[in-house]
Amino acid sequence: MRYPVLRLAYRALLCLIPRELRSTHAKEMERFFAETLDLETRRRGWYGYPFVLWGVLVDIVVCAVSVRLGSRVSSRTEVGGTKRRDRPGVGFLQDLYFSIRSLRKSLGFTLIATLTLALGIGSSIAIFSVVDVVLLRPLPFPEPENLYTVWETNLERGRPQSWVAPPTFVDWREQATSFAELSAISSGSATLTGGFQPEKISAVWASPNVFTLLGVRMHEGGVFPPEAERPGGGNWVVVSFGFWQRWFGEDSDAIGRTLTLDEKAFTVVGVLPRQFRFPEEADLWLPLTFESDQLSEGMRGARYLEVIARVRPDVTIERARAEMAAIAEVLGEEHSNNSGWSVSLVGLHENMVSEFRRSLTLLLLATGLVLLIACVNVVNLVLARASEHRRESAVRIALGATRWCLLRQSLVFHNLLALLGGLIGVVLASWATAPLIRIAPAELPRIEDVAIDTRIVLACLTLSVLVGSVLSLVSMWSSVESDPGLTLRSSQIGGPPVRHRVRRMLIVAEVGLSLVLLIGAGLLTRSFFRLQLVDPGFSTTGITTVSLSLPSSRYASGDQQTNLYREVVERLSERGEIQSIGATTNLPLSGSAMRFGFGIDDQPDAALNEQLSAEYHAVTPGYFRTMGIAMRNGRALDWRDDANEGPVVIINEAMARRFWPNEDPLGKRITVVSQGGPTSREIVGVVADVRHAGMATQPHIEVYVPLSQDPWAFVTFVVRATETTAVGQLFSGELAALDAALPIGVVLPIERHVSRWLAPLRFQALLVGLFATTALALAALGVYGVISYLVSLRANEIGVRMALGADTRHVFGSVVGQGVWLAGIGTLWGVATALWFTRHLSTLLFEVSPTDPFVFVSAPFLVLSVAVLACFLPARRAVAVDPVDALREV
Amino acid sequence: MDSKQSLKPQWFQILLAVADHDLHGLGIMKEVLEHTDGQMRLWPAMLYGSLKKMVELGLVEEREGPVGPGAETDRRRFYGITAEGRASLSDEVARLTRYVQVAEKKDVLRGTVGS
Repeated sequence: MRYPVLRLAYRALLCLIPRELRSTHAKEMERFFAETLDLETRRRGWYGYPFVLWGVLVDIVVCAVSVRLGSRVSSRTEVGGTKRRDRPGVGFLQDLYFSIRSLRKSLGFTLIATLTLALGIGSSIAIFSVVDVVLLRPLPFPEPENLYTVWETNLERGRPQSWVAPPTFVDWREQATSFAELSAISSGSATLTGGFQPEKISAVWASPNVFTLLGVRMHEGGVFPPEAERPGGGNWVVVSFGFWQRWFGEDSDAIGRTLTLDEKAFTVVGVLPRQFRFPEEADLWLPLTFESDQLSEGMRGARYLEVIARVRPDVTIERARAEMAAIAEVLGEEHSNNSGWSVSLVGLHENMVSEFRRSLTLLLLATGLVLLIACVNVVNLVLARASEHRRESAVRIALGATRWCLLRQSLVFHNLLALLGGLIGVVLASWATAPLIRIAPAELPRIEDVAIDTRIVLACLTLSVLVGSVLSLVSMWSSVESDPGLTLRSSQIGGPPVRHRVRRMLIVAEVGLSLVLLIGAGLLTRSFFRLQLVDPGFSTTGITTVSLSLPSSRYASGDQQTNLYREVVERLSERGEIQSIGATTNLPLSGSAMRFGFGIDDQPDAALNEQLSAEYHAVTPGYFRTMGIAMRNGRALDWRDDANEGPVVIINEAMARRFWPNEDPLGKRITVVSQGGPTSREIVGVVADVRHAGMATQPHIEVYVPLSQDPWAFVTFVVRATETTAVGQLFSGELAALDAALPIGVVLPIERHVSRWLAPLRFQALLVGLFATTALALAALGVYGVISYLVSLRANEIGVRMALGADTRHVFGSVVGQGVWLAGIGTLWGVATALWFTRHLSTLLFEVSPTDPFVFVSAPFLVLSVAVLACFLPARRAVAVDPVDALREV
Repeated sequence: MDSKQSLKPQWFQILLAVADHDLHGLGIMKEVLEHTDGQMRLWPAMLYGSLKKMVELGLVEEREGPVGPGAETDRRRFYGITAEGRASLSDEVARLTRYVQVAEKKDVLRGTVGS
């Protein structure tokens, strides 16, 4: 049987409809309900739940009210208006009025309960809105479930997901029958001229069928023409909505106009819709085709294309996988570069969000715990209030009120309370959205779409009604006795001892839950600070980075490229404001990396028994000094290390340790493969290890070659200046003097690269920390509430004890002890749960064990201290009890 | 049932749904949803409340569902139209047709049906 809990809740709701209908049709209706849930969740995803729940709720209320009203009208006509007033449905307005009055009367209770609920519901809803957009909502393309990313995979080499080489892609496209479309994508940038000054624009080169594959409907114009499929089939461009607004001023005549990109004219064929964001926000889309030299045998090893596919609707994914595996096997037999490589298909959406799944689920879990703690707190308040109303309920029952009447009133009262909390929660969540988007890592897909919309509000109201219904049941259970006469005769205050036990248990649970959250937050924060303390091997302050790429039309030869770089460095070095300057092809933490094979000249590969590869950087003189990368041995690079001199290389310590553990590597030779083929180079220096891929990644084997011996058309300059803010202007001034048509690239302080890398971790640690603090505050409030209540129950007993000469300190200690005892049990339970739970955190932690002793000792200590503080006030009140007053009340 | 009195919209749709074959509750809901382009959704209490009343008035009747594997434990109530239900339905359709004819005469439909 599916949905057992929801079916049970529905069956309970059916109590509201007339008995005649219920007795004959309840089973059928329950089944109808479950089947509708099935149908709607398949059709609408998670939103099916609130949709159906609200639908049936309104349905039942309308049915109850209309039937009762009908019977009331008819009975009035029959018996002359002597109908009892307390019929369900009719009395609803009266109940509502009564509830509003009660809420206003006990303003303190209302305020604390609604705000606590608002905090719990609001934080859950805010995080849920992020999870909904990022993880749950399907991609905005037709039949998104048929879209896949296709990877080359080689588990033996530790490459589970590798990009795809052009010849392999072309083979797939020719041979695979499972796909309706298959497209390759490669990101980069293009230089746009024609404005005030040349601009570097983000661009994507994609197979011309990419828009057909995704099913995008253009805002203006159309997709690439068929001739774009062949090499030399014309220069076409599709522009983003933002670019169209900025460059063409939303002019619909833009179609057919030309853009000068990398000094060639491109005709605009289409404008993408506003919300199109895939794979990233590129402004220009250009057709990707392959010349014959890109399809040579050697290029089968150059894996740089992202491949996406739309599986045919009549083909199962298993069949598509089997077909691709078979194709890969044949390719592996025919081409040595394909040997050992297979294919993996991962859902496009899954591929985009998989790295965030764990961290978002963690946040959702954390807010769930906060909500649970908030609910426990409110349940405690409701229990306290209900025990005050026990006598009132008993009197009402004795006077003839039915239990149904009391339940109805309780339902209206508590649902009103919860809805109030939910509404404030929605407001809080909508306030929280903007800061949440701001602190969220920019890589989070579709994060800018996060908003509190009708679906989220509906989900929030559903949650409120669920909470409200639970509260009313708790309150009913606590305030209505099976024998009202017993309650009226009894002098016992606050209900039977069993209910006190329940309240104590709730406190234990609350303390335990908040401790779990606190320990999780402690571990994440500790890991975050650990990461900040890691020495990345380079200076992370005071450096400005400027990217630059040279158009191949005017800077075709390596000499032209080297000369420009050298002149830029020399001209800027002469400026007084510049302390030092250098350039590299791959900046640390920027996400760009090159990896090439190498061999050690006097150690044949066979002896090493493995294929060696190293992180490869081409750098200019001054790079190490500017970046603060320490020279450990030998010399730095010099402009004299150019194409005419003997090839040299600088290696990092990790490489020196690995291959020459007990000897000096200087003077040894290694053969490094690069764009110009293998070159034997002499090791002239050793530098400190640098964590290029991030603080959490151990340094790899790295080689640095002079940019003048292996020039590349793109570099990033690193500049250390007395006035960092002026670097961009200085740089573009000097560059314009050398070549006015060259656009300056992105100017960023190095701190930004570091903070961008840390952003996801900061987001996670900050939010979990925030939720843990909220949970701790709520738990403290809960402990305070219950201990105060227990003290008020014991007032007489304490009075008698004091009258008999009990020591004040003793009484004080017994009250605090009672609280600490409860918190202690909660702490033990919390530690045990956390030990189990934090195992799942290990992949999110850096150099911190999931059972880190510091966190596991300090968090319980903090919780216990807060519990003692929370008991302090009630204890002081207890010792202030006047024995005479207390005795008089016995 | 007084033939002069118009049928409630949901009764009319239910009768229309079971006019040519017997259906169970969910089947009626789906068919009505489809006929009305998603405009009318019958939720359980409204549907079964209406069906109960319509059985009492003799417009529909409960019928044996088709027998299949697991039918013993899984028996649903099926509903079929009665002669009286069919008469009410055709009265209602005739009434609505008269309105449509008037509307056609007054040329009200132009522009809404693409003519």
